[in-house]
Amino acid sequence: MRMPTPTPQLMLGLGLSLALIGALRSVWSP
Amino acid sequence: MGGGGLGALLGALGAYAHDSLGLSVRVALGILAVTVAAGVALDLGALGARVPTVHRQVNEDWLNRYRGWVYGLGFGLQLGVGFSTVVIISAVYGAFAAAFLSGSAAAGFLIGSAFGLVRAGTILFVATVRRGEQLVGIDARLRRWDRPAHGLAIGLEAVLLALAALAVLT
Repeated sequence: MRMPTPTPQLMLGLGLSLALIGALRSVWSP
Repeated sequence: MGGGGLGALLGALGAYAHDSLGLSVRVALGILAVTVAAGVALDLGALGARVPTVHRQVNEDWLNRYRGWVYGLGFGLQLGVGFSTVVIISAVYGAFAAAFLSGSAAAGFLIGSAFGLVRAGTILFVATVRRGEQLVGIDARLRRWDRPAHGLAIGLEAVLLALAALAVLT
């Protein structure tokens, strides 16, 4: 497995993933 | 739209911060990792703490007061921005933190737009609802899936945290 490297692409990928988790989980927002 | 706009704004501000502080991608990722770690702790309810949030929802009186496109736009902007209504998971903050830390208006726009689009897309869950009892059924299903979904979301956050930490430390 390749180690993740600190690149702008990794930051973008993390941001997009967090956005998806946050948005989907918000379905349950009261 | 609200999400994309906010993301782009944060990205642009982040670009300015990167320049003036001379922030490297590694340091920015480190800050994001710390943010997500704190978020995971809050999501797990460590020390009895909860994710900080406002206790407001969109104003349903608008439904009677304004025309469809007015409240449609108004609700969309508020929900797209993410934290102007109840936030139930720290990933919402994490996403916009990443938009800021990306230091790029374009990346911030992508992140914010992804959030806004998916958040808006969840309306499709109820798109086929025609009768009241269907809505009750969906509500019951959502309640059943509430805890598993929370666990899954925190698990995914932890994976992202590990990725960020690995990238910073290696």
